[in-house]
Amino acid sequence: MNKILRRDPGPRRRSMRWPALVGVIMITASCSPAPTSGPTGTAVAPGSSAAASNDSRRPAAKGGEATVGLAAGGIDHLEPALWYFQTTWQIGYATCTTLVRYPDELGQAGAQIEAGLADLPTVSDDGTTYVFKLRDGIKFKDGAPITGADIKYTFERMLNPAMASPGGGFFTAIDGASAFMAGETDAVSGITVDGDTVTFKLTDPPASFLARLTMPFSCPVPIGTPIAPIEDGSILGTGPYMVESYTPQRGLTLVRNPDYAAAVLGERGALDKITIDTTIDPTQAALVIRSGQIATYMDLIAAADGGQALADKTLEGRVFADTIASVTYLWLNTQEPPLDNVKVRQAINFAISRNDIQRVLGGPAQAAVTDQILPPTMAGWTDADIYPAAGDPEKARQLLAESGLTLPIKITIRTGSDGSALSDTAQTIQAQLKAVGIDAAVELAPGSVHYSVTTTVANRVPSGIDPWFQDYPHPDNFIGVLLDGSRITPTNNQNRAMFDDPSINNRIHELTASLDAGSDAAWHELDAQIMRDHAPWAPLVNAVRVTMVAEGYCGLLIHPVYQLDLTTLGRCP
Amino acid sequence: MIRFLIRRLGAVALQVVLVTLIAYALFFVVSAATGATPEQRVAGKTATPEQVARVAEILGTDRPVYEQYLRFLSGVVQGDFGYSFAYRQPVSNLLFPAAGVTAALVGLAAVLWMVMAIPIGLAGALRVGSRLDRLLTTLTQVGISAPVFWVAPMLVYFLAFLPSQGVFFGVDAGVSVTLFPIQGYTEFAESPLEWLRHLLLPALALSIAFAAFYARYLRALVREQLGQEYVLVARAKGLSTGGIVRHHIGPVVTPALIILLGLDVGATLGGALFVEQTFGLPGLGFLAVSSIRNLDYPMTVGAITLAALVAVLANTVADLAQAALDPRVRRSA
Repeated sequence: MNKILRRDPGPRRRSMRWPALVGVIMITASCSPAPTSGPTGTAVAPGSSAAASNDSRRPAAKGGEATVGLAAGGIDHLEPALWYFQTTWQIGYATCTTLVRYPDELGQAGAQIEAGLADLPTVSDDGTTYVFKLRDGIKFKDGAPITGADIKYTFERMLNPAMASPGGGFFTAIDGASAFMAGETDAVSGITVDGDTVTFKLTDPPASFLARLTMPFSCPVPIGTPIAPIEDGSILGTGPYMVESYTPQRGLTLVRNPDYAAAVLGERGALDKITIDTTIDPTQAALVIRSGQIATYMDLIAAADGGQALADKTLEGRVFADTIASVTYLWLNTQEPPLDNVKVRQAINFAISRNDIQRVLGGPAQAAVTDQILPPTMAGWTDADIYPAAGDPEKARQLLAESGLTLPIKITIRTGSDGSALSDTAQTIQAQLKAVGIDAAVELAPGSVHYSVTTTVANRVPSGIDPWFQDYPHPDNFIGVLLDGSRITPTNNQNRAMFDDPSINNRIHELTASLDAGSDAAWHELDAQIMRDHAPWAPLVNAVRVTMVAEGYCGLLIHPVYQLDLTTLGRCP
Repeated sequence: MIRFLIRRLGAVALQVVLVTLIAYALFFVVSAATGATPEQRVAGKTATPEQVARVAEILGTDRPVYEQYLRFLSGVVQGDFGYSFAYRQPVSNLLFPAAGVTAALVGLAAVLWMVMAIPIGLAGALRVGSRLDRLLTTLTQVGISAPVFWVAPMLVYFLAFLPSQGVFFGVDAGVSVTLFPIQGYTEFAESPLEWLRHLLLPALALSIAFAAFYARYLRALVREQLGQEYVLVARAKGLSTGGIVRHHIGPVVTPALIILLGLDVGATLGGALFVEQTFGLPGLGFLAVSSIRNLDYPMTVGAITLAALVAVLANTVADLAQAALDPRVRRSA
């Protein structure tokens, strides 16, 4: 699940306090006109034009300063082994360069991995060995060159059990990583160094390994950095910016990193100084931007404000709507009656009017309807058109009749109570299911409690509604993590649908290991196959982010992976 | 007086122990009933049960409940509130700065509400039934009725946002002025003027209802005293109304006001969350709420303990002040 909004992510990467945020954000219905949104993940407010002179997306001038806003609590950690909020990863993207990275580009172009500290690796035919050669001239902010030994140390520090990093689980494919994380060995045997060459040996090769390496958990730190959280930002210094000062709950200041190797890594960063004010509440953010006190807001502004801003002609060219790599879905426990009956699960998918849910959440400016697992931001995405967005109650009744079960069928839907977006969605679905003969009881709990209850298999929870946000842009992060039956664990189980079909599992494993360029299409075919033939979920919506920019600021890019790209913000020329 | 002081401080210690015990117990009950544990939250979604167990070991959450509580309590005695699970740093690093913001907000609000309430209450009491009294009564009723969740956004919009757009009280002046920042906080040490600019609107939002209530309370207190025989005697001696209020009525009603002020300041410390959120003030309320969501019980219990300490101490100071002003209180103690 990705960083973005703050939907409750449970113990993992939460887009900061999603409960508070998304809740506030998605709830308020707005009647604003829909933005044009497409699979690239970008959308532009009606009436605006990329070429318009007031379009704040034209390139920014170099130099100057800006203050951007963030809510108190929007920074979870500045320790790279620990940060996991979407908003802190935005800071990571500006202050770190990982082995490989994403370019500062919109849409699919921004999701294509390119060389970072190292050239793109040489990968063995069986996908188990990745060899990286560090590029010349790249330094830490103190001027010391970054060596292969620093990279190995960075990974071992992050995987060290004393760090308790939430990033560890993404790298268990590295040979010896699990034993090291368990404290059984002193080093990760699968990472070897020869001068400026770093080799990763994998035991269970995921094709998404490169994408995982782009996660800011692996932001490089020098050898000898203490094995303990360092929260003042002083160890961040391989990106175009570095942290000048940080006061928790107040804000931080980023300034240009004088040792950033622009000649090698490319020019990045328009502003000379960025102050991040972490005292701006999302409900007031739009007003603060309009008043010019901040240039933009790193997190989501309140839903009502977003809808209003998109409809406001005076803000033309300064408001943007972008589909986020996420999915909010109703998961159906495929091992618990009556949801173990595929006809019932398909009937639920037909009974739901996703259009109504979109309206409840604030309209197209806040959410895009979907009946697929993978979000439209994913490479190669096509609209599979499996279940009608308006629902088809007749078809649902027919499927229920074919299921052989006696109506009414009783189920329970659990969801988080932090913020009302999820509970409103649950109640809307409850009414829609009632109309076809399914009595759904809705049970709410605070996000952290909901997470623990629904990810513990022994609780046998029948169904629930949760959002999932991308950690890295690879289908494996959705289908692999959420629907691979072989990954079901007694606790912390992300496959809440308990979907465990051997043929699908095998296909997931094949695609997870596949380095074929054509595997994108295969993932999307698998997505459609799972949803059409097995329906372990009823996917509902993909979240949409509305971003406002104050007058006089340009260049801001909403990145397909990291969202707000601080390095692109600047003064208008 | 010393016995009184000792008894009060003993009560403070007992209350703090009780409050922290209840807060701790609630966390463990919720944890046991739901399986929602801090170690699971810290370990992340990809963690295996073994990794979660290792995190529990690092955080110390694998220790018996009583042991965790006693360790916390012994730390508090030494001014150490423990280590935050969510922020991975000492609780006091975040707690004390946040408490400073809340204290500044509540302190300024208390000054504002007293400054507003005293003249309004006295004017009403001294001119009962007059047009002025009726006007002030109406205003205080409006003040009491206006909820803070309405007052705060209105103040933001009319006094902070619209002037930044060149609009002052509905009039387009064509000149954009930032009278007050919409959000944020500046340390007093950094700039006293900016500190005041950032706090004035939030303190005003917090103080309006209190000011209205205090004005009505003071009006009733003073009006009651005005009918007393000692006031008639003072008038007969030729004292002016101002003199009677200052020298005779003032000392009688002040202890009651101080007691009320102590209670309200203490209660408001825990109830300023909405104002903090609306104005983006990084105070104690926000910290406590986000910590509860993160199952970060050292931070939560630390915030609760500090709020309880301040509330109890505020009441104690009020009691002591009352005792100092009123010999009957000292005698009864």
